[in-house]
Amino acid sequence: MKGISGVTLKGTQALPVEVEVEITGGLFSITIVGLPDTAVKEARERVRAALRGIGLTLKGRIAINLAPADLPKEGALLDLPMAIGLACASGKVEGAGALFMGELALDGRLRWIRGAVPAAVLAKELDVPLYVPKENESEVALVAGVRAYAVETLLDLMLHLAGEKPLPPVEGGSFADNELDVEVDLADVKGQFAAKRALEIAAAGHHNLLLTGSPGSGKTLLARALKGILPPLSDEEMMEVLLVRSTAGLPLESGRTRPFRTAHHTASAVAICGGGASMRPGEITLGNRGVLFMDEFPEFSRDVLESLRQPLEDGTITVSRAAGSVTYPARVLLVTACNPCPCGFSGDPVEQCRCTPQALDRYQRKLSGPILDRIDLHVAVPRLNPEELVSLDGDGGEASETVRRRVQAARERQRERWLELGYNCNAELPEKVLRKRLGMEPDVKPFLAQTIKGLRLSGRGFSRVLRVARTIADLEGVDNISVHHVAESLSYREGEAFATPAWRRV
Amino acid sequence: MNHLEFGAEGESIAARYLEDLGWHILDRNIRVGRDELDISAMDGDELVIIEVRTRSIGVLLPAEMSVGPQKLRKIIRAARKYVEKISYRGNWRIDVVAVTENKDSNREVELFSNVTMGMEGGFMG
Repeated sequence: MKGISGVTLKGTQALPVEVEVEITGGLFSITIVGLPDTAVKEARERVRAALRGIGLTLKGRIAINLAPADLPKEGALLDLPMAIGLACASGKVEGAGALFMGELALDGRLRWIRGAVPAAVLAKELDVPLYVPKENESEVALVAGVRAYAVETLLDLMLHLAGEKPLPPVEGGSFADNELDVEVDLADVKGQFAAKRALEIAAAGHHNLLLTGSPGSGKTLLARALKGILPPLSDEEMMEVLLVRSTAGLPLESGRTRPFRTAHHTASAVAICGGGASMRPGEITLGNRGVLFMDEFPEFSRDVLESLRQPLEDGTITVSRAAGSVTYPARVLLVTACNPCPCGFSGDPVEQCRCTPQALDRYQRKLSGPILDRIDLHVAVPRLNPEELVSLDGDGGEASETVRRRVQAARERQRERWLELGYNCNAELPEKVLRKRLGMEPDVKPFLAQTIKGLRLSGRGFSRVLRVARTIADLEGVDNISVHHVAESLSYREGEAFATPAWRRV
Repeated sequence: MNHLEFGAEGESIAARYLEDLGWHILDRNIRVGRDELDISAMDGDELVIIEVRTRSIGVLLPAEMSVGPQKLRKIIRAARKYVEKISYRGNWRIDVVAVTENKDSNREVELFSNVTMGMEGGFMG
């Protein structure tokens, strides 16, 4: 990289953009070429004003080329490299061989921009210094080994480049260990011990979860309680979360708390999966390495539901549009909640279900087989019985703290086992690796052969059963999967989720 | 004094004012095809094309405001031709000088520098 460079974002990746400037005699004009979007084109007014603010009045015909020419450039983050390019062309300073990014205010101050973290990763890869706005300093500091400088105003940067008043490099920070907050403590949720156990397994192995139950039985509360038992993010996961938040333009969240995103059922496919005119990540990407909670799951529009299929399987989502295609990470723990039928009381021991068979059928058809097949844990959340309900001092079971410690230990076991292959948890494991390195007690195989026939499991369903069994064994802290692990794992599967709700069959 | 003489007088006042600033006047009343440029001058190493507007005080639109986008486009077109004719290769710009006659028949001169600045690419083309 020889010239003055800026960056543009593609997915959660920053790509270098070389800024070339030519000034020839003539009436003052600035022309920007190289697929700039409107924000980039408008940069000429900001750049001109900011440069004039530091005593550099532009003259002549100015052409700015942003290379590579066929890559669409977006956003105001190219203001700074263009200003530096113009200053260099006017012979004021020397700035070649560095990455610059920042939006300029008319008075030459630099404004916060999205995408500073991907840019820092790029600068580290290319081994060049990076100049970012002061407001982005804390994010950039988290990228270890990057040579970065935080700049407050254009003038400061000019003085630095001229060698008159060098800026101090950004001090490398590290991911702070924070106290993970517990919003809803498991101990405060009455009863529902089966569901709590499922939450624990989901948190330990990053397995998708479906909670089914009548209105008011505590599905939403349970989903929220999941937040408190999730293990803290590891350094690599932290980096992924940071990259996503930075590209989405969300403020930095300190600490290792996993993201928890809630989507309302009116959300569009673009809001969930990403895309739009300016190609932003969707909820499934914002929830990467954390939880995406979709309450009232069947109420989501059909294309939203079906668009979840591929990312749930692959852990990434590729959004293709006319403007190009980008791939975002989408390793999300999907938590869904729904009623068993439109009126909500199908299978309820107290209330009578008032749904017609047709209505029931329509409702159940909303959730297609392929989607349900991708959800590892199907759990019934039945109405509490009267004794449980009125016991105000009742035993709520273990506190979130205790469960989280167990979850964390299980996650550590998984990471240790899979790290050499590059995986973090059981849910990420491709089927091939899973079958080869599962570790089963000898009596498990005949048991599986026997049960699978009766359960009509699909190939994917089968490997999902094994994955969950692996997690249950990890929670127990044993190396090999035994029959009772598989049996518990099978109990979370539903051949046909709705036709026979769990509580009706018992 | 008719409006033409009034205008010509304004241009003379403007030229004198620019000379006082230390500019070197090159040409005045330059015909370029259909259009006319009032003054061309050198401000240091930069060529300046000057449009002079003369008004009496009290006219609703002040002199400098009377150069609208259409007029400006005309000036740019003519200035381009002129720059080419004299084979000038350096930087140049367009200024407006407003000459305003106040109540005591005194003329006040104001210089508006680089009036095309900030317009879309200095008017394409």
